[in-house]
Amino acid sequence: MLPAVGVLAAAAALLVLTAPHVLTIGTWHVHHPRTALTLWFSAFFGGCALALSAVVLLLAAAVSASGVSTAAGGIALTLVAWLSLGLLGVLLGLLLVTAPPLAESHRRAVRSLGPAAISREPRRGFTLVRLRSSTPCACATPGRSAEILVSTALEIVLSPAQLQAVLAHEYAHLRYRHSWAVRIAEINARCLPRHLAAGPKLRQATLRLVELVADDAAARQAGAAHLANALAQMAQLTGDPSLELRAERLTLRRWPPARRCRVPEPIRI
Amino acid sequence: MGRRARGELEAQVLGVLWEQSEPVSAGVIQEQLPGPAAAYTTVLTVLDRLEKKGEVLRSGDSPRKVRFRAARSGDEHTSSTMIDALDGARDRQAALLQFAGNLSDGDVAVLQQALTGKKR
Repeated sequence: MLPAVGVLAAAAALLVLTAPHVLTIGTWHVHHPRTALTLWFSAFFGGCALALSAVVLLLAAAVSASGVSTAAGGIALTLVAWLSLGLLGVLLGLLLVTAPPLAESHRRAVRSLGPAAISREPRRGFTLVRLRSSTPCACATPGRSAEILVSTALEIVLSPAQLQAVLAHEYAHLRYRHSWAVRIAEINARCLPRHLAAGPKLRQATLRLVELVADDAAARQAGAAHLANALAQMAQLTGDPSLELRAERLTLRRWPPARRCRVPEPIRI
Repeated sequence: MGRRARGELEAQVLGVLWEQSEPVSAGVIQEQLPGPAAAYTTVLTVLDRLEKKGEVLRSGDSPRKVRFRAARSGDEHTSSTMIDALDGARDRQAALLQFAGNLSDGDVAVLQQALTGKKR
């Protein structure tokens, strides 16, 4: 049983140490964001599963005391097993300490926008909220009472087709549960030791990839040209260079012709 | 009886103030609050807190004639809180999956690299 524990632990460590570097080689992930996001999270959950099974096996070995002949060996095994269980407990504690303030901070951010709502329209799966504001902005707030918020300024600067593309982008965030990915990555970054690249790299990759995945979904549903125009328009207004690059990225791929685009029913304007 | 979430009453008091064309007393605000009734003293406490935050201006000389008004219009307030909320800590990115502004300088560099690589 002990060699198996060693193999599992080594595999988990190898995954934590190498995956962040392997997955950021080259720039393919910019063109295939969905595959990249899937791989990142497979590595994450795979690593968790490996580490957890190593601890379980180690405990089983310690309890049954098989595989060791000497008393000293037995004591060492028991000690290591309980220590690893303790480490797991510490991680769990960190998780419990980190997650609730994060959720509270999310709720506060959402609530601060509440009073500005000028209309709330219940749609299937979310509420479409229009905000009175001179800042052009759109965002999605996940959860049981999911919302897509659009500011009046955005409605003014974008054409209806462009606005439709922005809605499709936000709707993709909600439908693909991107908030969970971002939240898991954030908690992971806070719980892992600082000097490990896996924490910040997973967070960074998740934040980047969910945007690109949502862009791809919106381009398919509402038309790549409309989304690119909306991005370019926003880039001009905000001076954010990443928006222009996202627009440019869309021009590099072939998209289904506009007549085959189908806007999902809940977000149709 | 429905209870308000933390910070909700502050938002509601501000909402009432934005609707007013001239300074009003705490009693008027109390009457116009939506949802469960709030005690007069609670309204005063909230106004006090909002004044400290610079959201509410107090006027009137004697205690009985004190009137309140919002320091900024609703639109100005939203624009600034919105920017606060959106530009805020990284952990808010999960709360507000924004259309614009979630990518960092590092992401810009990666995108640039990917796009120039593809064009060559």
